[in-house]
Amino acid sequence: MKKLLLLLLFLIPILTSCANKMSLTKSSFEEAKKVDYMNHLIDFQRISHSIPEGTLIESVQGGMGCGVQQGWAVGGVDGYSRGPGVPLHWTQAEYSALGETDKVDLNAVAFKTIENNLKESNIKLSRTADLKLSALITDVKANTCLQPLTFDQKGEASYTIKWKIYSKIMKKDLFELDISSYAEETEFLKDSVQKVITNVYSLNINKLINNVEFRKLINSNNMYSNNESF
Amino acid sequence: MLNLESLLIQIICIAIMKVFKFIVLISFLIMSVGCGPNVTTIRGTKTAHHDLSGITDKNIYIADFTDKQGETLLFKKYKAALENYFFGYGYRVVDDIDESDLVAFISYGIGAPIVNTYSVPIYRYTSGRSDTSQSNVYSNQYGYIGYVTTTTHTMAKYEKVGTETKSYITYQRNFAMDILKVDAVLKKTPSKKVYEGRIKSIGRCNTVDAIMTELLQIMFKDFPGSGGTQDVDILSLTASNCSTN
Repeated sequence: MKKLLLLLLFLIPILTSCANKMSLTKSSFEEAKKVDYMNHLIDFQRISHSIPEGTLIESVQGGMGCGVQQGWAVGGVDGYSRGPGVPLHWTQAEYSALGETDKVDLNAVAFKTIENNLKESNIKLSRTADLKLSALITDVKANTCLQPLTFDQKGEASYTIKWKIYSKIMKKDLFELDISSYAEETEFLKDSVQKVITNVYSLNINKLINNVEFRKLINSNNMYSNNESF
Repeated sequence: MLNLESLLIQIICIAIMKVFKFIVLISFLIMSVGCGPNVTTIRGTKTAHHDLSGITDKNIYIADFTDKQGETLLFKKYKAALENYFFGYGYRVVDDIDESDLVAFISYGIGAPIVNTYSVPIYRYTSGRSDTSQSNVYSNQYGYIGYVTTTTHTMAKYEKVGTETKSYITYQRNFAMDILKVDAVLKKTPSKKVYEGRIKSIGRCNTVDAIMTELLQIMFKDFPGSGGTQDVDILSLTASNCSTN
């Protein structure tokens, strides 16, 4: 009986308490409402982040029932921020160096997703537009799980993005809004992480497109320069 | 019942030991074969001084330092990355200098090759041996009385037999960033510099492009910081040929 107790004392920490999932705030998916006609211009300039170096952004679990903390098991596969401005996800060059040529640069995926959702909502993208849109990621929490042997993944993520719109004419920010979004993939798949990231950005930009103040600005046809309420 | 329990414990223990042995074996193989990612350390000595704490207007424009450097393709390649850093630290990056309150001037270059020589001792292995010799023993009274066998053992050893001189070439990669208040820039009055950052990094590759990503990371680590000189190490997957080792 003593042996059994000792064994349980040895196994329980490995199977349960080492798992250190982060607490995520969930929200449902939201479709973007299209703007009426396609003469609304915006220049989507950049996406960056302000998360301090060393902040845990991805907790990776594994084993049966995703109960084993992988960072503990193999000396660190969890994801940490590399500091404000440093790409949040591995770049294509880094994946190439790792020999993982089938992996996609999620930084580029994020940018493309935002551009695509804007275009699908009838908002034209133009470098000459007066309104300059930028996205500052201020918080990232992700829990992912590695399937033993196949290394397929599933997981969930929540992002908070501070959206800013700057007017060249006005030389100031006309809009600033923090939006949080959540996405989850419950099946083990090769591209689950990419799906989660795409969905979390998609939901975030959709919430922005649906925002009343944002639509008012987009629909204003640059009249804000004569309107003090902006 | 007790026997069944003991048997179960034994089976579980054997299974755990097998898994453990497998993990140890795989880890050892990976370490010995060296098929893990080739992570290298890029070291930069950063010297920075600033007076950015009092700056409240944060519209910033990013420009090349000299006309000669101009809008090189290399500058264009990393301009977006620079903008992301400033944006990440709360600055508003603008396209035109007349919208800006601050201008960041960027400069980079590479020094002449430095030949580094070092000596490596050459060692040789001498195997151990045993020598046996016989010598006769004579007595004044009886003449020959027998012989004595002497065995000498020499230990195996490594001994230094000389030195070999080897050399390798390194380059000093430089990166500089100055931030000026824009009114000083446009009026061409003595400029008011609010940030001055310099990085020197020594390593084997002779292009700035190969380590620009790391130089930017060094420049913006704890930006703007408290000032002074410090060595900053950045782990890199992509600049494996650029470290000093």
